[in-house]
Amino acid sequence: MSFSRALLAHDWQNARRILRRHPELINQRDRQNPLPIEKSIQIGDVEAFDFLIEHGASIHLPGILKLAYRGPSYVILMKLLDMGINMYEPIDDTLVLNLLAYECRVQDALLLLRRGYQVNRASSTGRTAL
Amino acid sequence: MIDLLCEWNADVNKISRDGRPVLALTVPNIGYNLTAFERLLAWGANSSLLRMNQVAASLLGEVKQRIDHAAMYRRKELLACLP
Repeated sequence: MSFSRALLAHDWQNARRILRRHPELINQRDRQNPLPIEKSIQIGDVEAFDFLIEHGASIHLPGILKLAYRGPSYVILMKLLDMGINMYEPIDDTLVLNLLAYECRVQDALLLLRRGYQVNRASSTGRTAL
Repeated sequence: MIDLLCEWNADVNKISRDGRPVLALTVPNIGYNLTAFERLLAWGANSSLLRMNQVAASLLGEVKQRIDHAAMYRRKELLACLP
């Protein structure tokens, strides 16, 4: 069984066994496929995400905020913010709070603000969330 | 959403790079719903900024027109807030 398959199947025992032999797999891309951590974010697999973090997966990757914002799990996005990823990383020339405001996601915006997001931060085009 | 952002001290008098105050940015949304415009005024947006430069002033007429056309009981009151 491959590492990615073990992750998808939530077979943590096998995943741990594979990692013991090949620790580099935690941050390794399988051909053109996303990194394991990117895949977990993409599909919103919180358990796989937690497993990967626990085993040293890197989260400081370009585009990770966009991936998490577009992904199905807001829990993962909040976890990433709590882990210190750059919350002002541009998402298609705008910022995450601007997108939340545009989509009227009030509760999600509140969670972001409570994490210290600067409400008046402007995007590269000069627009704030307001 | 406006109320949430303002509770967290969003700058209601921010001027965009092209010279439009936040109030003027609500123009496309003023139709039969003046909520955004009203809320910004309620949070202290300065309507005189709609006269601060040519870009803003060019939008003032449109703002007035849209408010005037909006079927809303407070339109007179809102128009009175404008410079």
